Order: sequence, then structure tokens, then C-alpha cells
Amino acid sequence: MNGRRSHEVVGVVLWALAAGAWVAAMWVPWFRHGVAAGTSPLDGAELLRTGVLDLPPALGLVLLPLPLCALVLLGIAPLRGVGAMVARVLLWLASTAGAVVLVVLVGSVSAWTFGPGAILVVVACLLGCVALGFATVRTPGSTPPA
Amino acid sequence: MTAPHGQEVDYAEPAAVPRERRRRTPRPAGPLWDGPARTALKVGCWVVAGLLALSLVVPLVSVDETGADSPEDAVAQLLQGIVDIDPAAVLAVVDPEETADPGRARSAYERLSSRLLRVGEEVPDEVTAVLLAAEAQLGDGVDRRSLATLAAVELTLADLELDADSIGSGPVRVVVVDGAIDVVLDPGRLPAGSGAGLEAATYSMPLAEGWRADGSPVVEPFLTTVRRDGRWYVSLESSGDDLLGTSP
Repeated sequence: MNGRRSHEVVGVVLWALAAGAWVAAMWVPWFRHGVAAGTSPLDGAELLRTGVLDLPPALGLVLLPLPLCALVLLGIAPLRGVGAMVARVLLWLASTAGAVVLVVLVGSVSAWTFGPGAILVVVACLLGCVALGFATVRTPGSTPPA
Repeated sequence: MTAPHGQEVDYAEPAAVPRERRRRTPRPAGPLWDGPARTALKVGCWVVAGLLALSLVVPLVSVDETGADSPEDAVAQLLQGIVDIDPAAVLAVVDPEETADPGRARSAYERLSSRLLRVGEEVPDEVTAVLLAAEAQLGDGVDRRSLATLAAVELTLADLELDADSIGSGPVRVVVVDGAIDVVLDPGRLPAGSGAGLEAATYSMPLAEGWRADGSPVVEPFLTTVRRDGRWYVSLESSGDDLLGTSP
């Protein structure tokens, strides 16, 4: 594998890992202690759908943008060109903004409540940041993927 | 314009750095890689994205298997769900006919919680204060403060022992023979301000004794389970009727 190919593949893998972590955060609980410590966002959306909670079922839709952005990001991870790079950066910014808001909400409850879901979204934001930095690094004998 | 040393300078022009020298690293001249490997990478990313999307959608639209294999398992799962403060686990073993109507399930639960009271050993003030605060906040819907308050309490189900007592051909009563819910309060986990004056406390609530229904003598604690489509569920309404008398 030449330098250009490995550079591009590493960039794609970094974006894919970031997207995967955002999606995986939907499967695991966001709280470590207390209410819903064993409930993932998917379980929560299911509960909202059944209507047994005193909350509007449409509230489950707030969970949708984060995995949706992550899935599109994963799909366009290997694409080249300025447009694809701009789309990746915008999706990363949108996902990071949404994730930071959710993590701050969880953190404002109590530092004791941080669960694996909250940790995963932070890791995904950092991975996206690394992928973005990697894409802009220009090494001799290679070009950035975008 | 003339520079101090007499040389003429044209300030309308940018500093005379050749454009080609501004680029620190030259772009390589080699071709971009293409072919089957790159196509596989692109297709693979979309396939993985599609599979992940399915993994998110399927649990939302599919119907999970609920209930338990036996009446004892249904009650054990319910108690574990309560201890874990896990609404999904609790609802999975409550009679689906009751959970299908949230108002019906809620009124059955409120009837049980308000009329089936505990007597005997007093709960430590610290535990009472936190649980009352959490209950009051939860009564008005889940909010951040109630989440934080409950995060300060660690609940554990210990030494649970159940005994099924069939009543006729349908429902089965499950009597709690032994077991306790251990409560540990760590005030250091409470949100700033709300933990003032509270100290660490532990409390063990025996499940098999100390229950009284509406001033009547002490009652033997049990929950009534029903069978739906081959699976066992706890019926809050039947439990209330059996323990407290048929509701009007």
C-alpha cells in the first residue's frame, strides 16, 4: 500500500470510527446510577413510543439527528473532493454540537451519572477532530483525501 | 513612493514572494489510487451504514419478548427492575393489558403504593428525605434534580426467596418468603446544595414482613401473576384487589 492510499484509508477509518461511536451510544445507557441507569436511548425511545411515560412520544425524535448524521458521515467517509470534505466537517460539527448539549445536560445532573453512552459520544467527537486534523495534514509524497 | 534609502517601492503590490514558493509542501505528482479496492471501500461504508441504520430501526419497530417463564421469575424481574430504577424492565413484566392503557397501570400502582404501607423499623431520616424528594419530583415528571437525587441512592436486592401459590386455574400468587432491599445513601453524590445536613446512611428493608393494608392487621406480601400467550406477568390490578379488596 503506498503512502497516499494508507493516508486516505486511515482518514476514512477515523471518520468511520467516529460515526460508529455515535451510533453505538444509542445502544448503551447514558446514566451510571439512578433512574434509567439500565436504559439505553433506544430503550427510552421505545418507552416513549408505548406512551406509558408521562412524556410526548414525539420527544423520541430528538434522538434521531445524532445517529442520522453519523450514518451519513459514515457513508460519505471515503468520498473525495472539497464538497465531500465540507459535508463531513458540517456533519461532524452538527453531531458534536448535539452531543455536547446532551453530555452537558447529563453532566449537569451529577458527575456520578455519566455512563458509557455519554463517554462514547465524547470519544466520537474527539475521533472526528483527529480525522479532521489528519485530513488537513499534508505529508511529503501524499495528498489529503479530500 | 520612495524608500528611505532612495529605492522606489510600489506598495500596491503584495510582498514579492513568488506564488509557487508559498506552498510549503508540493503536491505529489502520482495518480490517485482507484480500482476494485476503492470501490469496495465506498460500498462497504454504505453497507455498514445501512446495517447500523437497521440495528437502530429494528428494535423500535419489533416487538420484544416480554414477560417471564414462570410466576416467580416475573415477580423477581419486577423487583429487580424497581431496584435498578429501570422502567423498561418493570414494564416488561407488568400485565400488557394494563400497560396498554397507561392510565390504568398508573392508577393500579398508585392504589398499591398509597394503601399498602410499611410498619416496624423506622427508615433513617437521610434515606427518607432523599426518597421523599425523589418521589415528589418524580410525581411531576422526571427532571434533572430527581435524576440527581436518585443517583445518590444505591439499591440492592438481597436474598430474595419466592413461593408460587396457585389460586384456581388462572392467576398465581407469588408470596415473598424472604429477601430485602438494601439502601445505601452517599450524600456526596447529591447535587450542590441539596445534600446539606445529610450524612451517609444505610438501611435494609425486609420484603417479607412489616406490610399493612389500610390499618388492617399485618398482611403477607404477595403479588398476583397472570398468564398471557404462554408468558407470565405481574398484574398490578389483581394484586391490589387481592391485597386490598376489590376496587369500586
